[in-house]
Amino acid sequence: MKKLWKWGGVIGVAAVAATTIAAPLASAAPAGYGFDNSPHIIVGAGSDTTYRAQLSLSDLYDYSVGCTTTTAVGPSLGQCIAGSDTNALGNHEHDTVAQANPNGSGAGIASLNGFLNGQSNVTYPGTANPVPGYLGSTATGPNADFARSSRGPKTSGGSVIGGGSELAVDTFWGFAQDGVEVSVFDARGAQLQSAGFNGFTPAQIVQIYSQAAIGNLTWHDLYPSLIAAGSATDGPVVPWGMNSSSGTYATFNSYVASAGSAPGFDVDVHGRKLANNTFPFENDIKPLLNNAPLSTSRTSVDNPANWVWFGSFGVFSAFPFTSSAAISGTQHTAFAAAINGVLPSTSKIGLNTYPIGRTLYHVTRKQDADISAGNGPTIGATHDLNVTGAASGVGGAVREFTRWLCRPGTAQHSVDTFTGANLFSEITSAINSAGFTTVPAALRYTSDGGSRCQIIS
Amino acid sequence: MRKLFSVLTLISVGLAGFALVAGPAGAATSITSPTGNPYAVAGISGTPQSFTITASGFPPSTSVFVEQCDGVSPSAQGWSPTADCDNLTSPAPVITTAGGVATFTKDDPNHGFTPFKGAGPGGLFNCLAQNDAATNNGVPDYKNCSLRVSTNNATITGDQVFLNLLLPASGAAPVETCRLSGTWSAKTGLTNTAPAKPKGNPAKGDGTVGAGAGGSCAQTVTTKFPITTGTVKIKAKIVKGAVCTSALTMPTDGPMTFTVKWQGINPKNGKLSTVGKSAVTVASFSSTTLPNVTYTATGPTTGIFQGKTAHLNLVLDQSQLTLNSQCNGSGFKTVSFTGAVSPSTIQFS
Repeated sequence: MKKLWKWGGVIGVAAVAATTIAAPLASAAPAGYGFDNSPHIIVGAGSDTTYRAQLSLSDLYDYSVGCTTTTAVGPSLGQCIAGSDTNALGNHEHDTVAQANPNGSGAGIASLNGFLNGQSNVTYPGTANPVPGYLGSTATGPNADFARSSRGPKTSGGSVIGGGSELAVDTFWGFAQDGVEVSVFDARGAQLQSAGFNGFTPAQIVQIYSQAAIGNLTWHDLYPSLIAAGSATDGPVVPWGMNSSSGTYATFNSYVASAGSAPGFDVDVHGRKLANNTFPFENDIKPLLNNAPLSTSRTSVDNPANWVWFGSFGVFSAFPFTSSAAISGTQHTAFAAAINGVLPSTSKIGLNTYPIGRTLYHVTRKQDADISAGNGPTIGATHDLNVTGAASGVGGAVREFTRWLCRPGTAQHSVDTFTGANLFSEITSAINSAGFTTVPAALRYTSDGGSRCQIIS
Repeated sequence: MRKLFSVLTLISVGLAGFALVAGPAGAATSITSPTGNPYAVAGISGTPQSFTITASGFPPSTSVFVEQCDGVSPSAQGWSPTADCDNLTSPAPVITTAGGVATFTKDDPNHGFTPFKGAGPGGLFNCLAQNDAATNNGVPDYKNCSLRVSTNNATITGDQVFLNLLLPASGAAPVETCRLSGTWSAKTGLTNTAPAKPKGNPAKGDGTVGAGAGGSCAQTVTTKFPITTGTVKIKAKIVKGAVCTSALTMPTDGPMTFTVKWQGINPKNGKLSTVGKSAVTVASFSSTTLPNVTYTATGPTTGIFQGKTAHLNLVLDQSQLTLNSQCNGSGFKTVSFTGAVSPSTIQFS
């Protein structure tokens, strides 16, 4: 048997040495990166809002250019062959990046950090790898290797062992931008966008979500000079709550609490639940529409024209099936209402001028992937993004997927082998396909050549 | 020399271009305002200004979006609104009326659309005026950008409809801008092999402008009659011994020229009449190859619009792959610019 190259640790060599099957020489991994020339499986978990975007991004990365692999069936199958050691700026070692079913941003971050939330053990279904021992978690089952989050980091009370700051162990990589829209339904949409109306103020949202009994507040109460009491468009204002693990819930609460001077504001205190006594999952109006027989009576709480909810502008726009549905032959649609006179749009979200804009994050453990000052590895006349962290294994795979996601421009990316387009542009396209925009320039990391991402470490 | 397509053929093909037509599925949507093909966007010192857009044929009470796109035809393979349009240009969607009409009112703080010129905010492509220099910023330049109105910015829709844009030139406003359509042929096809007996290789082209090209003209100066249409003739002699690589630089023996015979409606009799002629000697010629081959030529003008600089932007119907195939086979001989891929224009400024 040919002598094999040792790289990255004893385990790999021992495993290969145990076999008698001839295999090509192993290759040296690209210097300065987290590759070890063996493919790994890494799984993201958490946010529903970012799920579709991250699925598209994972696809792009999974098939992006990498090393030439051993194709002979045997212990070296799929590993990089000798001499194939140049990083072509794609998925060099052909890792598999997968996305587990969404259960909310908080659940994903908790899984990433081995946060038990009072339990003796937790797992995140659909993941593959255990929580690293250094975190001190007693979780023994598979959990997330990176998290998807539609909210920013919590600096206290976080989903982290000890309940402190998530930034103590995690780095948040903002890769896209979205807005949380406040939705009204059917004819109320056009009404609130017509002359004289300015949508809602944060104070009005507090008012809507602070009703002791749903329906105490009427549309006339909100717009006394524009909607006459008892008129055809007057009726009870019916606010819906939301699953509290959701980043959308967290973002909305946070905005209203700060802008409306309502500390402790919580939509779920007075928000409507589904008939099964749970709050609806975010970004899909169909559970609301199917909750109870709908009414056309202006005074009914089951008339969608009286409802108020909130959700991802990007998801509702890009996937109309989530924001419009036919029930018993009638089409019901959620429309955005303005906040302080400003309607959500990709142009305003991209400029960060929509009031409830939010960045969407890919979250990593710092020990896997973090940002460091200085230049990354040299690429021709320029240099790579300086993502530091694990040098091999699952952590290294997370590090390189993260770097790929956040590289600053076309010079740091390879070309899609199927389309010929630069992957920097294809990442933008994947983000846009999910209804989101790229991160506003003012929020991006700008040191050492910059990044397309906002990086919070 | 190979016989050229007839003008009638050119007109019919030009009308099949993508301006003002809906996408697949036979949707009945259309942009009813503004009109023009391309639509000349008003500018202040070359900066595009907002304008009102009205589109009809959509379902009632539906969100409708507008955004700016590059110059690639939506019928081209691989076209995608998320790659060929920039969603950072999209204002808030408009809710259609009961009659299915969406109006994006000029300068409306929520719904107003203002086209960009230069680098797009999303960094996907650049949109330029006819006389703008190449940006060389790593993403493609287009002088034939468009706007798209649809019910979804994130995917191809059956109701999407487009309006070709002519962005305002920097400096003084152009005096005349017209849609252009035609063909151009060399007497002898160029191949990758140098000819054994090099000879001069004359090339000629014919085309139509304005209505004759399935589009329109925008005019800011007074002529005998307002120009509505016209014909173009292009002449050159490709240098002896040229091989196919010359197709992108088009070296010539002597000047390349083109002449335009302008026509308009004589108000006295309502008939199409000659307005005058312009003659242009090409001073510079360049080309780009991605995503489609585009020839750009500029030069001084005599006759009508004397003293102005003419700008030709010819978007070929043929892709680089098609031309390569011709070069490897019988020879690269004829190109057409009918608008099948994207509109071509001629401008004087």
